Amino acid sequence: MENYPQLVPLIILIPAVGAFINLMWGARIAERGVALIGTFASAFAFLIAVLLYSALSSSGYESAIVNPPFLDGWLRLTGVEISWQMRVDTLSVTMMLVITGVGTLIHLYSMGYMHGDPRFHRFFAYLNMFLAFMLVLVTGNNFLMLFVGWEGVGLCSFLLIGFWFDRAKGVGWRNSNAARKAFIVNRVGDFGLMMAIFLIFWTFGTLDFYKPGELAVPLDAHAEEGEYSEEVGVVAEGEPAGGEIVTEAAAIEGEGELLLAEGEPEYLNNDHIETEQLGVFGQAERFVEEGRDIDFGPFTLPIGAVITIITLFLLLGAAGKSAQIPLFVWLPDAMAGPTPVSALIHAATMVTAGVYMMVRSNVFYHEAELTSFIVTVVGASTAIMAGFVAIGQWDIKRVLAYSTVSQLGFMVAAVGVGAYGAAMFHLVTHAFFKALLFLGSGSVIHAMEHGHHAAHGHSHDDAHAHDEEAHASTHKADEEHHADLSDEAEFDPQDMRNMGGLRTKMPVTYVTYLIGTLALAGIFPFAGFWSKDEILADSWVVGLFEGQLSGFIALGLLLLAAGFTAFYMWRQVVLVFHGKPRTEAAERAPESSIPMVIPLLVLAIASIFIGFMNVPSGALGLDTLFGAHRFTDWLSHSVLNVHAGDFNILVAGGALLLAIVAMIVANGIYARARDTILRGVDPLEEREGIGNAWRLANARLYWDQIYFMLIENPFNRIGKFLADTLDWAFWHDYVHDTVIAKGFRTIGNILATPVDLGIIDGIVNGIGRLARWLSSGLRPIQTGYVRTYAITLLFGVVIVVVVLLLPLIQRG
Amino acid sequence: MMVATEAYVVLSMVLFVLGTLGVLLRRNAILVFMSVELMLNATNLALAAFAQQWGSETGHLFVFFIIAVAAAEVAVGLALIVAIFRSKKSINIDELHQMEG
Amino acid sequence: MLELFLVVAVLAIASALLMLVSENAVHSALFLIVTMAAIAFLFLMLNAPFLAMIQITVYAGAIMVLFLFVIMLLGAELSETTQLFTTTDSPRRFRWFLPLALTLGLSLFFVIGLVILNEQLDERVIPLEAPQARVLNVASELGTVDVYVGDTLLIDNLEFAQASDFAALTAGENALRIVTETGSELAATISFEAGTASTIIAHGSDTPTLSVVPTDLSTINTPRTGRYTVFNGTENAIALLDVGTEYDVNDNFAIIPIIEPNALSQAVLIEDKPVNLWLVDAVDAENVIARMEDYEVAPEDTTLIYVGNETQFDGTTRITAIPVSVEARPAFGGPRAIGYSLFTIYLLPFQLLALLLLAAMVGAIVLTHREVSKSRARIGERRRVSRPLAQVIAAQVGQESLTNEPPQLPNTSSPATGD
Repeated sequence: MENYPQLVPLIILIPAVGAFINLMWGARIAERGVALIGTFASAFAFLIAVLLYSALSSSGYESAIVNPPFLDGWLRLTGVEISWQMRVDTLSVTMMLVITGVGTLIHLYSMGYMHGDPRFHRFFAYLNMFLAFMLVLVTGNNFLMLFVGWEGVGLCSFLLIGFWFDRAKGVGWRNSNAARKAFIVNRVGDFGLMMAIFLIFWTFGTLDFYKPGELAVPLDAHAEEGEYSEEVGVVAEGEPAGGEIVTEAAAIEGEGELLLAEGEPEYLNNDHIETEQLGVFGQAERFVEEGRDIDFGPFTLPIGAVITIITLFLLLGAAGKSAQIPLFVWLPDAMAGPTPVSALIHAATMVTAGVYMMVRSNVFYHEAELTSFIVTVVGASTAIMAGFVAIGQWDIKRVLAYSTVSQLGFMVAAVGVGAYGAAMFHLVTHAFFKALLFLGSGSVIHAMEHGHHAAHGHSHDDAHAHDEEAHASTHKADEEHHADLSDEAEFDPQDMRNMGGLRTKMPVTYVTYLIGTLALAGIFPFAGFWSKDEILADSWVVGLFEGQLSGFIALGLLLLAAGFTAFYMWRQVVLVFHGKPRTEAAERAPESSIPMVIPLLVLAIASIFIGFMNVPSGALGLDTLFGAHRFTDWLSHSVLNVHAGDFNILVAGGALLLAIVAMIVANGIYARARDTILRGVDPLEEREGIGNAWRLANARLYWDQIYFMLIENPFNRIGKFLADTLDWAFWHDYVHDTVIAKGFRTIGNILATPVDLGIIDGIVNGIGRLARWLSSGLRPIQTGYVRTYAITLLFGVVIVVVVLLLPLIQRG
Repeated sequence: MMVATEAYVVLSMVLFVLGTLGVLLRRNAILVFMSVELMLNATNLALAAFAQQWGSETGHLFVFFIIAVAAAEVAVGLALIVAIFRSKKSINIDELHQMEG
Repeated sequence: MLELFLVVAVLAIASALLMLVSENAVHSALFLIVTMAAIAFLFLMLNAPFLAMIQITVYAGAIMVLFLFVIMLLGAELSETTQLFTTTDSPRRFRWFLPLALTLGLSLFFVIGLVILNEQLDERVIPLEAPQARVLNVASELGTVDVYVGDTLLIDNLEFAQASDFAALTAGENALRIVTETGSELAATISFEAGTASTIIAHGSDTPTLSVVPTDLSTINTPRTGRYTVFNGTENAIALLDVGTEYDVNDNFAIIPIIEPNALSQAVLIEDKPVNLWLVDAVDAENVIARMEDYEVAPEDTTLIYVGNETQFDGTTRITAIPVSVEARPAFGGPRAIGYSLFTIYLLPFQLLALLLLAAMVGAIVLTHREVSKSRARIGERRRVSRPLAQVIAAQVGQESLTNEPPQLPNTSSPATGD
């Protein structure tokens, strides 16, 4: 059991091998084989994650650092050694479980969803590659590994958003544009992350989160508060020596010896370690304690300022990856990718990497009050902005995309108010119910396509053959009308106005989707209720008891955003499932196939129950049933600044009431608006006063247009000016033309005409002519008749025999 | 009283020349093949006669090898003839001159 | 004999001619079978019974059956419709062909025939094989010995009562040295003639001496008999008796009546059945020297029985008989002779031949195998690589086709115009 952390390299290796196999030989393997390879690789990774979980649970949550073989000493420069160290602690294992668990289900789902796609194998290769990079991101013990994973998942995201880049009729163009947009916007965020990494290295001389032997959470940290002392009593940090797991004491004494197998830890904190031997977070705490100034050569900054700058850059990185204002614009467009991709990458896992990174850096954020405030503002405003925009969308996936942005805003805001546990909790629950919702929407879209084909005279079997076209018409980046497209493409299976009444057509999808909706809306007792409530309660505590402005901002904006959430989700449920079918396609939509339904069911069950893993204390007696804040306790072994919140009946009840009211209002507005919607108009649009606001939401607050005006357009103009005027008209190309090109052409002419045509071609052609002349003379010999060959042979035999026997004849 | 080796060799010569004429003059591919077999037999006879004369078994061994190789050759050759017959519907060697230059 | 040969030869030539001129391919095949049978008969006359057998079985049996089978299978028995040798119906005329072929064939015949008639094939010189010799160590004083010829080690670690294998020596004088383990030497210069085989017997219980006796390895033509010679190493003349049934004195039969001391008896042939052989004193038949009861005769072997004194461990001596067998040369042309050669010097060609036959078998199968149209997995229909970039871009931007013109530079440029 205590050697289980050794398995952690496998969790990356197996999806990587799966990706490699499918990429190299996938085209020759049957579709089913490709899917099995991909799904099993993912399932195996999940198995390892479960093993790691059980290992952690049984070893007293002892964090371990693993040096995989061969990669020990990954980067060795003078004075710098960055090793490929992998960290197994409660935080990373949480992420691993979410990534591989949801990932496996989505692999399974893709088996049905991507059936018949010409690049099926490549899709699975990308998915596996994504898993591998995402796991690199969360298992890395230093910022550089995090960065490697960060860029890797960005690459996979790019590849998968643009997966249908070759669709006809301009759809592929939009898809690949969406992919480019995601990639470029993420580069801005990556710039922030890189700057942060440089600064961290400059300041602390290392990139490791924690050094081997160091305690991430000193054992006396919580004991002083008197909170968790009974649970954290036996923690000892592990240390690897060439792939070996040994305990802290052995690491200090020397390699290989296991001095402290179990029992009493030798040290309760890191006081015995010198500052230079600590990881970045440990050093940061010491520096803050000492109030040290950091020397940057030309200028010197106090440590507080440095950490503020670092955290701001980190925030920029997180804003890029986790789609926060102002860099969120790529995520709604990223829905151009296949729906499983939206579910896995753009809802459950990759976009939460920013939150993970900030939680991992909680020590920094804890020390940087200004940044925390900015983080809160960014997160909360993102949450409410995206929630508002989601109300005005018609595309089923785009609603969910804005919902994702909004929920990520919740998480970021939670980080801002210092509720790191709540942020992670919401991350986990959100991963499940948002994946569920996306997969449900995929199921609906799939069914709509089939219904459309069935409705237009194609037989049902035919529908599969036309899958490619169907996808082409389906997954376009824009959800609006496409008057320029042909008949086939005019029908939009993602437009909620085309749906309605799917409750009876697709009962399983409906029930699971309803569960996801209730979970997302924060209805008791579904998962979203608990996680959202914890964020709100923590904001309440920060605002009211600690008197910080950020708490009030977060509480107010997030409550409003929660209301929006309930409203747009119920609007979606009503539009999609309730009422009567509004098109023939919806009328004939079938339930999805088994591989697509199973993940829905599993995720629905998880969405119901996963919230109970972190019931706050004093929550109507449920805490005694399920145990109070168990997830926070679990995280407290690797995240220093978590604190468990108490149940606040006022906040919880208020939020619940708000959500229910919002849903009732939404039901009232949309359930009886069939005619309005058939006209393609939202009921809100026609109301006085609200109409303009709705149109604003429908136009997505003109974010894209503003970006175009402010950035794209000036950039294009400058580029054009540089290219046309500076580069072309002035000396640069003039010199190229007159001097280099002309001279080159002259030499080329000399070489071409007399040398090449005359001498070289003459020789070659001469040889050819000679061969032809010779062969034309020899050709008649080759008659093709066996008998002529045979008699020639006999002729030769007679001659040879005569020559051989001539001496004998003469003697005779 | 043993028959002189020369007698055997002359007989072998006669058979060999007859086989040669068969190879050259017949147009049925199977007949050509059978003539080749006759030539091989003539050679075998000469070899056996020489082996008897020299009192060495080497000649016999060569005959043995020739018979075995002839068996292999017949197997492949007849397979070729069957394959040709399938595609050309004929085994007249004069009709087979696709290799004409 | 010659008459028989002539009859068979005429039969062979006649049937070969008939094969050549038969219009019907089946008749040709049957005539060829007759020719082959005749040749098999000639093989028998040439002391080659094994070849005769495989000629019949493999040629006349297997191969010709195959021919007939293919002829019938293809229905090709009358494929040459009318004229056999003229080629008027051929797509090309080969008028010159028949006379040329006849001329060449006959010239070949006459050239070789002339040589055969002129040459005296009987005046041949068969080179004799190198002399062979073996050493029989029956001198109990010597123990285990090594044998050298000059300085070359010929036989290593020859134990008591053992005979070495035959080794080839050079004709003429050979300086032989027998070296015991203690280092003492027994040397002699012995002369061998080419084409002979000899046994060098190291014997004598007190003073070891060497005796060289010829060994007859020639083929034993009587089936199931062994050739026996006795070397008498005792001081008295002895005799070899076949006592028949032990209890009947009357059926005793002296196989070799007398063998002088230190002399080799003449060779006798003994039939392969359990016999009771006694070695007795030549003078006093009651004085039995050695008994070989229920002795198994080694058929087709040449056996040398050494009779002499042997020193026991306790120092006393007694007379023992030591038989040493070696295979006689197998009968010429028989299966054993050919098999022996095949598995010794011709093993590698034999293996290659087996491989060739295997290859021919596979080749025949491959050549005549009909392509069965299988319904393959429809992998090929899946696109393995992405479409060319130009197509992809065309699809993306919605254009049906791109122009074939290469991308042009802006008009502001003034490209230098080449000729």
